[in-house]
Amino acid sequence: MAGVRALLRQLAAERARRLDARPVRSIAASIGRLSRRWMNRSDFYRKKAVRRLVSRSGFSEGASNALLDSLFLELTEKKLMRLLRSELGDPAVLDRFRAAGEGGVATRARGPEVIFHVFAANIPNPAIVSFVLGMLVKSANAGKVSSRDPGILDIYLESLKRSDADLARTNAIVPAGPGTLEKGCAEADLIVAYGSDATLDLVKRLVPAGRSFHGYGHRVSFGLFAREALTRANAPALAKKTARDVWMADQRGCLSPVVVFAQEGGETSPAGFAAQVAASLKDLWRRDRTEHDLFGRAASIEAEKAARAVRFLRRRLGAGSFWESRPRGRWIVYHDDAPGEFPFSSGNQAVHVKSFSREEEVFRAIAPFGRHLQAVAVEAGARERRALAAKLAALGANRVCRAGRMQRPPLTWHHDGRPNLSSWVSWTDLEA
Amino acid sequence: MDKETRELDGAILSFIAGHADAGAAPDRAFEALALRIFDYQFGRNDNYRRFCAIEGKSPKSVRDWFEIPAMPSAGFKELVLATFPVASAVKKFRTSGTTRGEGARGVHFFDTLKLYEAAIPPPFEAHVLAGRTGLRFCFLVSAPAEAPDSSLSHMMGVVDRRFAGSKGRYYVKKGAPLYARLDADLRKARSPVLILATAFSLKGFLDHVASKGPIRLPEGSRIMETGGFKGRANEVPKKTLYAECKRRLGVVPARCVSEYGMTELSSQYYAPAGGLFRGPAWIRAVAVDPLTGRRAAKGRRGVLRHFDLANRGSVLAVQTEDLGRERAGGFEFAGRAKGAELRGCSLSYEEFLKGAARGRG
Repeated sequence: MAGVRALLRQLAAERARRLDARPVRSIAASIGRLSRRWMNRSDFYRKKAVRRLVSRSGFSEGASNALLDSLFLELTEKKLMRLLRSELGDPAVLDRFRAAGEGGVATRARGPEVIFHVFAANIPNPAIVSFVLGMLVKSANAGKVSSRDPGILDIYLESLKRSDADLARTNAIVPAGPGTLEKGCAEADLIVAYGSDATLDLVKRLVPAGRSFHGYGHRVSFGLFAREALTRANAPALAKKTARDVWMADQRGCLSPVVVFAQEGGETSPAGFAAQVAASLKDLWRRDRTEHDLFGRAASIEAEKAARAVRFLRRRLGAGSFWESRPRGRWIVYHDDAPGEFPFSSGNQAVHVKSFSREEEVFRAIAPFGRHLQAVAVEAGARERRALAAKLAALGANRVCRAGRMQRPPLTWHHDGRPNLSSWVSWTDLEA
Repeated sequence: MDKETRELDGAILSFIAGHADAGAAPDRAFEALALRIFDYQFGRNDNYRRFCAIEGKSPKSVRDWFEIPAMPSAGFKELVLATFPVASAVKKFRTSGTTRGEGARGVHFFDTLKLYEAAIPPPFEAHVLAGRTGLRFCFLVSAPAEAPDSSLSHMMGVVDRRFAGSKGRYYVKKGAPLYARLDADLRKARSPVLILATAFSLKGFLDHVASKGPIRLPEGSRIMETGGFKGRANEVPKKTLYAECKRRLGVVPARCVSEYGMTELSSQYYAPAGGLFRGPAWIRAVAVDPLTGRRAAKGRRGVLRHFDLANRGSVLAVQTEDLGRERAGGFEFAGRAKGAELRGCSLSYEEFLKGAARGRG
């Protein structure tokens, strides 16, 4: 097998040959066509990916399908072109110099020759999005996947080979081995890494001076529902959407709502709402019965439950209540009125519904997270929703969305609060 | 110490004395004493009583010994769990540091060591010595004086006094293992020895011996190792460890004994020759099926819960995160619960703390 550096050099050569002169629209169209295939549940590669997600990554079959749907619904030609427009203005700047408004200046944008992507064990979607973004700016992509959980990037690239061999030649997963990280960083023009702070720090240190680095860190997301949203008519639907947000990424994703703050004083009480979320999760699981290692999940939920009881005892807080699947291990919904006790994700479809009366209690609880905040599902009256969004933005949250949409970020979302494509490309200006 | 406590301790001590040689105690005797201790702890251990309230249980509602609410071992880290004012504690044992660091070490308080020290010798004699006398004790752990808050070191001190005339030698000084010295002493040994070590330090020593060439310990030598592997990355299967004991020290698996103890408990279990863990009559292990929350059928995997009658001063029922199976006469250890291994990109508590510690939270 070729060495990592040789592989990256080869990818760069393929890129020059196959992508330099290829119109960006043709790339977007090709990716869009491939997405349509992936939307078909009986597609060979899709089925293979679902099997992998169930057996290796520990997602249920239903959630695996939902994750893939949410991914490929975003990777359509139309949406890819929209993303290019929103980030670069005119997508054709990737093909040639284009007039840039007044003054007769023309501009042209170029993606890095080779992007080295470093993926941690993760939910599968970011890896594929990362490669697709690289392809969109006509870069070659080399990816290092986690040996613990490789995700499905290899399956996606396999399918690309079948549908667009030219494009596929500019993408590869690097073989794992000692020094892979160092060699990849040394040879690439842009390094994009996903993972914990520790991982990002480690990778960053390997990036040679003058090369770009973008790190996407671990984040925390939650829901914030004002009392106006908890009406008798609305609450059951809201509970259903919340359950979906919880279920889809198994509460392991940076977009998973580990907590839902529910305001007191609405027609449906926070505890009543928690019970509705539990009922909705039960419903989702009735249709989705994958039960790999339910024992291990149940054991870890038991440990988490015990630790929580102890924590609440120590702080002399009321312990609240919980609803859990039978048999245990599929999901658990906690309710309590201690908004200040912000829990951390333990995965396993565990969600905490916390009562609050004044919004300051919520903001006090989330303030310590600052730059770690990611998405917030906010449900409130229109004016209040905007006011809450402004406060959340000030704290550092980078996405305010609707309940039920947490796991379906639009492609144009500023992942981790930054533009994606536009921070990856560099520009040349041609003056008249 | 008040009268009720003295009487209860007397009852526990006579239970221990009465069953020192026997196998299991009759269910009824165990249960009667367990419920009496539960009642006592419910009355005097405030945090435990509040925990029981969460579980919805009290001495009035609990009828069977295995229904007694079990405090998670994490409770020892976050709560004071004592039936007496801890200012009057004569001893504090601390759990070893975990990934969460020093601040989160659990503490087990004792108002007397009488029960603790009475509980140690009988099973040790039965399983570790197994009728042998005159063994030279080599402790691959810190001496009690050097590690006053280590329950393992304290226990070693107890068996040293009781069975080795306080002549045992300690081969960990200031936290550092003295492999070379132990190696040299063992090569000179002319009479049988007993090595007592954590599995982790034993592995370290075996690696050391590997670089020097095998030792032939005198016939009749024995090894006791204890699960010092918790939380360590380089876990070694017991089979491998025992195979190395044979190859490098000449001690066959039949002469190796595994100990299972916890800082949160007062009594120990032993698994001779890598078999079942067996405890004395005053401690029992139950495997709880996490899927149902009920006691698992014999032979079925569950999360281990211990009921230790010698744990009078804290809580007698302790919930672990260890997996195991109940078998006739003991239990089988089946590793640690590992459900949390599936990770994603959601922020973890440890990461958050680290970020906050660096002033970046």
